[in-house]
Amino acid sequence: MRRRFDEQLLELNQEMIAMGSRIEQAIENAGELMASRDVAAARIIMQGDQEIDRMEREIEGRCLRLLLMQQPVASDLRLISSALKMITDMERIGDQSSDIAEIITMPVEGNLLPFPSQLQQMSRETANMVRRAVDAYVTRDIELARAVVASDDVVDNLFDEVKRELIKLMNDQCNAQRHADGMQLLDMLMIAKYYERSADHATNIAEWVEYAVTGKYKGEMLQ
Amino acid sequence: MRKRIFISFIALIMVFGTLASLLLAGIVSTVIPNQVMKRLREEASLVIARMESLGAENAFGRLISTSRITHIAPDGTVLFDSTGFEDLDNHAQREEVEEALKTGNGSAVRYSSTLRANLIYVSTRLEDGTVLRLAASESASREMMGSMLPWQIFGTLALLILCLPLAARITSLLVKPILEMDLDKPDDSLVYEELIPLARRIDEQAKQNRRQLETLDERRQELDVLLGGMQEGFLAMDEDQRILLINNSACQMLGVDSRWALGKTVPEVNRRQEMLTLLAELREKGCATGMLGRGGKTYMLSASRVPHGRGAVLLISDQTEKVEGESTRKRFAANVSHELRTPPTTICGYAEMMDKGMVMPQDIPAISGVILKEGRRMLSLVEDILRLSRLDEGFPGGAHVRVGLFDVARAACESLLPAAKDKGISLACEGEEAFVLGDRTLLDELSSNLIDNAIKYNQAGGSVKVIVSAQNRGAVLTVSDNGFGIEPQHQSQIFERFYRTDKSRSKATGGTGLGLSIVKHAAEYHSAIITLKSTPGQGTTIRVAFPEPGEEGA
Repeated sequence: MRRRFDEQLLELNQEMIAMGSRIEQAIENAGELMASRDVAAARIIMQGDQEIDRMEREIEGRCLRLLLMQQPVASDLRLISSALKMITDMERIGDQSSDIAEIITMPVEGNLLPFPSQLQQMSRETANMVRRAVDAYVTRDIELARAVVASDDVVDNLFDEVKRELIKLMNDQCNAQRHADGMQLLDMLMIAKYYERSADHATNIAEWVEYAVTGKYKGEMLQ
Repeated sequence: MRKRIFISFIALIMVFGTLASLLLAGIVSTVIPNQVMKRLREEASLVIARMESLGAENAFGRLISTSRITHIAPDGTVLFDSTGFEDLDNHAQREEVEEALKTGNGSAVRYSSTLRANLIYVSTRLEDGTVLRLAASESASREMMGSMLPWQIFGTLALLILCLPLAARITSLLVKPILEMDLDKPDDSLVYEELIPLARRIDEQAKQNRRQLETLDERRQELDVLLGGMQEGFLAMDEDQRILLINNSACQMLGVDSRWALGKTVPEVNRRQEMLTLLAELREKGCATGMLGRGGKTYMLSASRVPHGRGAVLLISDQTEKVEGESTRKRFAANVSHELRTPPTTICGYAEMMDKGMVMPQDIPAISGVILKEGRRMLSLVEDILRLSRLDEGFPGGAHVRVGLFDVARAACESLLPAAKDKGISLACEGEEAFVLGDRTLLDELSSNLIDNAIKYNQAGGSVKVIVSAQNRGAVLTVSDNGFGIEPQHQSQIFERFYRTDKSRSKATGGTGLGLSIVKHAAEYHSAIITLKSTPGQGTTIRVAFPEPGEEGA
């Protein structure tokens, strides 16, 4: 019985890693679109989101089956319940990557505006956070998980910077009487918001990693 | 063993104790009835004496005895019984009566239906033919046995308690030599000769084990050396994709620590989509190949299941150079086809116009000039390509002789002086003679191309300086100009084939785009090192440092 359970836990772990791999790839590729604006690459990300959704449902089903049929306790229970929480965050990151890809490659009126360097940095920082959060899950590294939680502030600060930059750009546009480009600036704001949310989800994943390993969620014992 | 010996001792003692008590009980149970019988007979003789003196009736009347006394007629009728029972049945069939009637005396131990108890009977035939029978209860012997029983139990227990320490002591005495046996030198420390074969066997097996461990260790070391020395990454995994074996190269390529990676699953170590796809394919088909990009390098993965096993091995080889070389070659082929097509297109176009009679006679000098220029361009292009392809093959037939570098540089300067004069550029060649071990034609190509470039990418009134110097016994060729200079972002790429910093300007100067590529290859052929220093708008200095001739083993 235990052997079968161990096998199932191993499979769950492999599926979690596969899903983590997908989402970190998705958010990284979405960031690369800022330079390339490659429509075909964007379509791959959007299609990949369906696969991520499918993975979420599969892992969810597996977790529920394990909870019902094996009635796990202690660390096994923590692992499975945190996996259930983590896949929701992972799925959201997948959604947001898909949204970012869609917005970046949307046809625009007028001249293409370059993306502000702060937004590009934000995309790199967020992709990095997601990668490290998944790393923390794979290696069960609490230190790394805490570092990910801490680096959420970096992305939040970048979000403020992007907003300031966009306001500046908007004022410039206003003075130059070029209203068509304002739409692109709003889209950039949306992209920045999506990244900010993705970073929050990465933080959540890291927090659940800590819970899975230590039983503490946000510094408190969850019973 | 100690436990077993101890228990055996105790069991033995208990068995003996029990046997002794049983024996005692047996003795008691046979001796007591005999004693009773003896007493009954004595009593019988007393009764008989009394009967003779007092007569039967009187004798019984005042008799006081614990025994049951019965007087039986020869026909079995009971004449008297001390228990007082009347009308007893005929006693002729009773064992002891029958015996007494026959032989004069009889005895028996049996159940009495009258008294409903086990009785010991003794009977004697009197002179008048009647039988006198005395009986006593057998319970006397049982009582005695009963009183003996507590003593017996007590005795056995006492025996047990006394024997416990003794048994323990003997046991430890017996076991001690075995415990103290030195298994490394069994012959010296043995007390029991029965153990010698066992000890020998143990000794042999220990030796055999040691030998096998040594062989195993050797094999392991061989394998470690083999795998460690491999340039390719090697990784062995079990059916759950857990890593059983990973060599240093694989660790470096995947960027993990080998101690950490052992026992982890492959997706935990690397979860790139390429790797996961490969693993899925491996599981499905039993073998798979794929490419993996990591840290700016490209690796080829090839995995296959182990025959007759459920594990698999994964080989990782660095394909960065090959992939990069392929993409350079592809770019080269695309460029070559483009570059080669342009001149013939121009030539054919003008030739067609002439063929159709569409060219005015006064235009012919200009057109033929263009055709000539394009033809020359194509020629130099083909020459350059051929040269490069030879250099790609490692320049077979190239010489390794002492060549004076200053000589070569001066000759190149002389041949390019007219071109420099045309553009109004001053060209100076100075320095000392320095020798290089190599091929004269190649060195000539190298210096002409560098000087030619310095002239081409320069404005009127500029200057080009060629300096040859001997440094650290090696030779150094420096070509510096005060021309356009090269933008920093182009500097790393100018040695690539057909790479041009600015298309429009280069076409006008008439270069093939292969010159610096030839310089690079020629320098590589001589193991020379090229350094480039350039500031846009101020000029460029290219320094080619040749190694000391002796190093190549002249």
